[in-house]
Amino acid sequence: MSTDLDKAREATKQDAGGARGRVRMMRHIDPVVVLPYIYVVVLGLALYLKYPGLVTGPGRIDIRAMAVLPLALIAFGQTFAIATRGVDLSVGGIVSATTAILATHGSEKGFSLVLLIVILLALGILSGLVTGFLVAHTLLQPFIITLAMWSIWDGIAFIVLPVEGGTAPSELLRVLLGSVLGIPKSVIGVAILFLVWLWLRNTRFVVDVKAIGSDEARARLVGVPIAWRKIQVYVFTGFFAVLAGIYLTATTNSGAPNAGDQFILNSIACVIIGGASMYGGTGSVASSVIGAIVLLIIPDLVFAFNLTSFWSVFFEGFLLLVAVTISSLVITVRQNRVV
Amino acid sequence: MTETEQLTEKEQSTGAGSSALALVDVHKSFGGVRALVGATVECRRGEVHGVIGENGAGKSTLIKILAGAVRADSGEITLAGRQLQLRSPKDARDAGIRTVFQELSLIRHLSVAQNLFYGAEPDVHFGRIGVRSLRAEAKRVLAQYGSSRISPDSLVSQLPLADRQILEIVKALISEPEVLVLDEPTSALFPDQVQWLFGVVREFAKQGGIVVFISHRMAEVEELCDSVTVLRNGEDVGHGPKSEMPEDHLVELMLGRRIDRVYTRSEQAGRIRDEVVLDLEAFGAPPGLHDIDIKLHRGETIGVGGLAGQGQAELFLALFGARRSHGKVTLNGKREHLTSPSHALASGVALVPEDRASEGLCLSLSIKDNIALGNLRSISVGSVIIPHREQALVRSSIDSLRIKLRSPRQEANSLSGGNQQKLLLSRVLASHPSLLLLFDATRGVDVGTKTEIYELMQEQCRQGVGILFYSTDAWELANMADEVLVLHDGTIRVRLSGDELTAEQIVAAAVGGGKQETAV
Repeated sequence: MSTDLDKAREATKQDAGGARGRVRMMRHIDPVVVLPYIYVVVLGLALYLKYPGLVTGPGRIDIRAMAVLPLALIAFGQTFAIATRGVDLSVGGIVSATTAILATHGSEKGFSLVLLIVILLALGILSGLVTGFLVAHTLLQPFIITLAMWSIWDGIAFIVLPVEGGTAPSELLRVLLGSVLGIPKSVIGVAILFLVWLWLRNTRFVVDVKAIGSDEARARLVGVPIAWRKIQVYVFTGFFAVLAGIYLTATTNSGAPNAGDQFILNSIACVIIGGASMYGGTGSVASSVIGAIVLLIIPDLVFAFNLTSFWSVFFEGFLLLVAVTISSLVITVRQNRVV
Repeated sequence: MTETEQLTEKEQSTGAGSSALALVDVHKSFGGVRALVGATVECRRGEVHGVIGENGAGKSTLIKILAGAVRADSGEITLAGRQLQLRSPKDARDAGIRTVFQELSLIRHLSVAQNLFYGAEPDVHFGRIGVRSLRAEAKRVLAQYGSSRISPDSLVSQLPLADRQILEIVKALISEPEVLVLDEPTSALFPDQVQWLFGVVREFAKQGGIVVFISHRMAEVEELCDSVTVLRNGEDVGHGPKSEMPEDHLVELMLGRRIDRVYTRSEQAGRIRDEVVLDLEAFGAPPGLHDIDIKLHRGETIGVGGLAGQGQAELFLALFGARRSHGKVTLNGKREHLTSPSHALASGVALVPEDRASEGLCLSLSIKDNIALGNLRSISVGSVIIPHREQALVRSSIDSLRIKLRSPRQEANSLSGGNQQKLLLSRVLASHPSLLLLFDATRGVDVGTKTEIYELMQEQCRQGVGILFYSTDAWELANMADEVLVLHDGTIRVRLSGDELTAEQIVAAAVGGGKQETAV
């Protein structure tokens, strides 16, 4: 035995040459993970050079973070759904219904706002349980199931509030907007998301989720509780969508039966710009939040360059296309190097 | 060796029975296909027990049962006198059985350290995994098993195949199992790594572990195993200490004598010797296939054999243009670069692929559509399908192969396996190829359909088609081919023809024994 092991050790030494050692150091830094940070620096710098006031002007950071936060919240959950090779479209409907209910019933007399928010969060969790259960125990695609759930929630939103309107309860505005110790609450919110992810990323849950997306059959073989994890994932997306809806109600000071629809594809775009693959197994909430920041610099850039705001939709698509092309090129290059 | 005997003696004296792990009279069928028919395998503590057999002998099923991935229909599994109920992979792990799959069980997107300790991390608090201790532990374990060149932080997807296999073995060992099941563990390893593996396995057995070693390679069984069980058609046809089972005896047992193989082809199939259909010189395809020379004449049948995964699939796919390839290819006297399947089809090459469900047929489409799909050129004008031509094609295809069906409009899915294979053949043949590639075309079909496929092959030969066919069945190769090429490590190891062309020689050449002198 010992001689065999020695032989193996000998073989180890031989290929630990200098060049390979250096390559190994490089290999641990995944270029795909770095890309979204590069985008944010490049686009941010472009904006700053063209129109410094949009970056440094009074309240600009708060405004930016207020736009980022709801999208980042949804992208938080969406990251997990995509990491399992799924997707959650129902977040759009949940956001819409949340804003509609809050904007119409939040200020009613005799109605506890805290209780209403608890009920809304419970509904989000319930929706996630139903979706997760169907995803885990049927052969249906998450796409189809969550498409239906989206429609159901949209329906509820339209019944509650047929057209944009209502007002956000004043307590909600007081609690969620403004600043603490001179730091905008929106910025604190985004920072909290990063902190939660820092804690979460090394949990059993996240590792299991990636394993499921990487290869479900193998994950089952190493003992991942697949159905349970999938249910948890959609509970997460539902819960975070309600949070996003609550925040959106406060920032817009109204509700709208279609307020959430824009977030569906944008949240997926954030996750993808953040470097995750639609084929599952990868994803980082931090990167997705960065993806949200990148995506929301576009409207400002469009403004800075004096174009009509419709161009931002065009450039958001363009950015997504560039981002996925670069990621896929990086992955191809890396694979060729290893194999 | 002496240690082993002492150990077993000790066990016998304590009355624990001679076998520590026993599978007795195990049966398993998959939808009517009988994979195991009363197989019995008994292994002793402290020894390496080899399980060998041809492809389809039931080895994989046996492993899956031991791993808890598949449940036996009947039979008993006992470990150290306890009867085991293996309902899930977890049951097997809890019982102390660790399986190193040929199909690796590592999660590609996770790191080496995460994979090594999956589900048994050294430091977990409130669902959080302690990253530092996980890393340190992984580093320590890898060093202990002489594999410190593998970094604990690498993603598995970034490791070469051999390192993944090593990782898989280390992962199994660190859980300190009672039984270590190894399924073809050496196929991805380099020779020095094979020696590493043998060292590790021997050490494990020496410390009282039980090793079940599944392999195709006779030399490895020879070197590593203390005892052997031979499986054939789902039952054990012989077992005993390695010392009592010489190699030629093992080959004989693996092959057996088959009565059901009554089909012999008529001697003269009318081959046209001077016209070459396919001429390959120094042909190869990444990753493994290299230096293939084949000259196939019109009306000739060349068989391709060898162990599974020796480059046969690459060869067939590359010839069909579905893989990048290099080397000189001459088809019907014309230099060709096979760049895509549609190009290959247009040049008269047709392939019956390995997996008829996923690569050959569109099972959710109708029989009619399936036949039409591969032959759209011949039944349409421009981009419009001419109905009566389509009908004629479908009719003649169905008639010529006697496919049993209710209506051409029924889903291909509703046909039996044998009829699906015939459907695929009829579609492929409707394009009138000059070179027919058959990849394991008779696998999983009943004897009657097999005979029909053999007849069809002969009929094609008579019409001057050149056939290259791969089969896992040595008898079939010996019966149907004019020449058989046994592939090993991506190239031709042995060419057999004339009197040398027997099933025994094919198997012997494949497993690495027998006459290697004829190797080119």
